Amino acid sequence: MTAKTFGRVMIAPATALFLAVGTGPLLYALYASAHSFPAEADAAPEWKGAGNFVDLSRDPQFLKSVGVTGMVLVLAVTAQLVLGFALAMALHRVRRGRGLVVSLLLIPSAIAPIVAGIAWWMLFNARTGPVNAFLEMAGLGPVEWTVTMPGALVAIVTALVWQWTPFVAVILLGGLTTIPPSVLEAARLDGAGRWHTLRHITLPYLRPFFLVAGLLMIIETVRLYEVPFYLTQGGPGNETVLSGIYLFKLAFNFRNFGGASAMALLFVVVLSAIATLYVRLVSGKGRTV
Amino acid sequence: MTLTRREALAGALALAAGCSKSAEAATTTVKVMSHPGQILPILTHHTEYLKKTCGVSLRILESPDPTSYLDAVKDQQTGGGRYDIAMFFPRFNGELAPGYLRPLDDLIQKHGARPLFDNIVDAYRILYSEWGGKTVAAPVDGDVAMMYYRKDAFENPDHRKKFREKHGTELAVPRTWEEFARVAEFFTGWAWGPTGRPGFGFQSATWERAYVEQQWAPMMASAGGNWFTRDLKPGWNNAAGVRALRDLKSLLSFAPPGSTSLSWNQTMENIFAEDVAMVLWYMDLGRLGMSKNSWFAKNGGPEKMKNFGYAAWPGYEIAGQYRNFNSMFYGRVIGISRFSKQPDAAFQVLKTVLTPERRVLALDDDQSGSDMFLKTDYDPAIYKKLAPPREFLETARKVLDNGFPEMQVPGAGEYLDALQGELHAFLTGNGSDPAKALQAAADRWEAITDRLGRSKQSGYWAEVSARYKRAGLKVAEL
Repeated sequence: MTAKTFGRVMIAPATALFLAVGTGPLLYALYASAHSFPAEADAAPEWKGAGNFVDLSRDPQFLKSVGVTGMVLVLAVTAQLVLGFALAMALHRVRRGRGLVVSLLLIPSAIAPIVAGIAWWMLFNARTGPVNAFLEMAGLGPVEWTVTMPGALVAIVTALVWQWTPFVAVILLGGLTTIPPSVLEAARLDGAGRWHTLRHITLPYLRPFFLVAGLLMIIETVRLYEVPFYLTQGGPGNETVLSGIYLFKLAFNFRNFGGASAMALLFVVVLSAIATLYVRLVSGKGRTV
Repeated sequence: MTLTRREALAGALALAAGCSKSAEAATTTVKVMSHPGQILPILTHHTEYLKKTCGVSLRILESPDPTSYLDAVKDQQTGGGRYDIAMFFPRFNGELAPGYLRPLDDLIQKHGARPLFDNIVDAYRILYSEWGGKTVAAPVDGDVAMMYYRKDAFENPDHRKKFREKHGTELAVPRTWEEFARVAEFFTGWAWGPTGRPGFGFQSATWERAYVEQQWAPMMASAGGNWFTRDLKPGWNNAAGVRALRDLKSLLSFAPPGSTSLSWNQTMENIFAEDVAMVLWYMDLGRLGMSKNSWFAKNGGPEKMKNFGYAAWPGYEIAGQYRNFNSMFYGRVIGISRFSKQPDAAFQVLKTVLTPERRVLALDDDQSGSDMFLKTDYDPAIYKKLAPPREFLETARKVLDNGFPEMQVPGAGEYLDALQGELHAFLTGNGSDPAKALQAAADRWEAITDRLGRSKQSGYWAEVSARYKRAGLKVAEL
């Protein structure tokens, strides 16, 4: 046995396990997406072909959920990246106790999403929430954040930005530490100002880190469920039924497992497409640092 | 010697109660899915008893109220085995009965439990325990809403005089929703109560999206609507539904600010923290309100409850016919999974929670959220710790004659979500035309019905309607 073959044999079990765990659910989702599942006992799944996908394409709630998710995605991820970058820059200047600060900053992203949802529901509560208390102190009337538009959207985006911005900052801070001091020093000696250094050195160096952070945030937002569900229950009406909420509803509230599987597969395809596009945009093909 | 009806019932119940240690039960662990928190005492009061007397060890698996039904669905979908007994809202009876719930009639017969089931108030037994001619569940929490009103507000001579001068009629507990609106408006915006702050006309239970239909649906039925028509068109996409929705929204001006975004507990806090003349709430308020240890006590409940009077929800008088329905939503039932390998042991649990002397432990408990559903639950003499007033218990029993039940055909989750979305949007001010809102919901109901099969769904609805009739529900037949 050659070394190459031996290597293949050695990794075969791990590869098989990975394929089983990774592709098994995907294959089942594929099967489920082509069937409907009657509620009656012992009733066999019925073949639907592409019917579930066709139903989705005609389902106004599904289409609306995609639109709402897109809106939250753009607002939240943009804010997370911009604020995360600002926070990372500020942290980069901290010399003493940075480790402690970073640990504390990671607390929001370590909190269970449902707990974050409850906390923000309390903060935005119309009757007892501090947000309204501040508004009232400022002479502004109370806002029923969770049951009005755009209040509900603001509440969701705020909660997401709060929860994930520090995480983004920590990723970008990691990127900042990779910039060789000699490069910065050389730029300074060449007379580059802050803006030029930021534009031509810092940001290009951080590009792969923005890529990772952005991708993670996009995935997080697309599959989002707990925080918005606890905050608004999808309301007012159906205004904040994000894709994650609708997927859950489809599967369990509506008991439409076939439709939910079809939607989950669409998620995979759309996320892959977004990821590819995003990688192309951020990696800036042909450009070098 | 002749027996009174009550004595005969007590005798029959005594015979039916209890359990014998069967060979199967001697070593059996029964997995029970239960709603958490204040619902747990329904079961936890009996854990020791069941172990000692029946040899049944309870393993309670908590599942949050709104999603417990989903856990049952998941259990069914994965071939069962997770639960022997599941707890859920009766709106899901139709969803779970066909594939998940085990019919109980043979077990009732085998274990001599018929008197226990006959002791369930007819409305709960007929409307919430049966499906397709079979008994499939047993209630463990009977909820019906009623109107609580502040006697100090209604009986104050100055208020009465002021109302008479303004409206030319006597200030009285409202019988119709028009009268309710008048009284609610009268008590809104001026300091008529002990807080010294401007008071409010009314406070209802939560308006959260997931529960928003609980206030509107009984009003819609009172206005002459129903869940469905005979041919399975939405029975509320008509003048009755629009009227109820429009009236409900206009009533919001007389509720404390922010009411549409309050949780269940917060609406309760408003009842005691503010001066609210009329409260549309469920039975927990009257059963627990007088207790110093209940979750009402922190807001001064016991003292303030002394001022409360009790009545049915108002209704509508249309073409000489008066209908007034009260929300009969959010009670809980338990059923045995058809996948359970120890149905006899599981049935001992059902039997125990239905046995009056065991049942009273959860009922007469200020930490329990389980309200009356047995005929014997309405007797003030059975309460040793709580002291629900006789007037309250009598009203609670009486309003059940006009309790409007939850929608129960298969697909209830999806049907209700469609309705809730539109109702919530309209009531929270995100829509201006009630007819348009109901039309949008109706379009979705039609699509759901078509997808689930119109004739199959019609059959289910015919069965539900027949039970409405049997329960004496005077709901409009459309």
